[in-house]
Amino acid sequence: MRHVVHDPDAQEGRALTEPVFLILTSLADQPRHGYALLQDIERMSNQRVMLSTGTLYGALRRLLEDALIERFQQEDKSRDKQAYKLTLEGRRLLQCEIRRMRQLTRIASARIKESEI
Amino acid sequence: MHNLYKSILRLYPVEYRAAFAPEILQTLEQAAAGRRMRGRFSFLTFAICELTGVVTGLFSEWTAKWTAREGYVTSRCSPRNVSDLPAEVVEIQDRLRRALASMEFAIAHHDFPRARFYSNEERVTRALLQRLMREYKLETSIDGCA
Repeated sequence: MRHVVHDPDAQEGRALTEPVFLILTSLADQPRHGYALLQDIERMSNQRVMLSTGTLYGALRRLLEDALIERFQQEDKSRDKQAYKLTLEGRRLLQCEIRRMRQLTRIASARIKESEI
Repeated sequence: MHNLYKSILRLYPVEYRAAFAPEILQTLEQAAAGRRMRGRFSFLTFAICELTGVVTGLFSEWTAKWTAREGYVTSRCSPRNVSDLPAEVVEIQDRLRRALASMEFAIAHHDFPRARFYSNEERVTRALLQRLMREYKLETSIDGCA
């Protein structure tokens, strides 16, 4: 039997990098192609995060390999456009990350309040 | 800028180029057009960021290729033809793949209670997939997808 080192469940335990979090968030409501992802990420982060094309496709390749997103051919065949969408696993990971961040912001807010008193 | 970018992209691993290069160039073109409209300074910073990004990516992708344990740019990176299979079947196939991967991982690490759990999940998912295959009158082999 082939010994698989990669543990699918282990993804839940690790924190996502900001570009990956933004890509998954961008795909949470609808599938998007590369340029639409760049524009949406720029908009979401108030132009603070501007991913380069190289960074975007490197991250997309890793997300595809981890089965967190999937790639499909868009119906408009006039331009050879591939779109990306979140898989169930990707959605589950994004929800875990949101819970983790919510918990951290709650702790941070409580500590700031404490120090103000 | 476009030609220099293209030349650097040619140095990427062939699997990566085959899967992503045309799409990357198309996205780059669209992004460049958007930035040109914002003025020269904006376009210059964009060009510097893009060239830095493509060089950094070159090293990352070769490293990923050399260190990949289960293949680099696998079939998961290929676009799925949405009309091939019903979405429900595709989801169940993915679930089956994950159950098998988790079971193999658990066995490899001698975690037998967990392996049993995933084995049960695999059996249930496989039965569900068979039922869906019959419903949709599909002849695709289940083993082929696992």
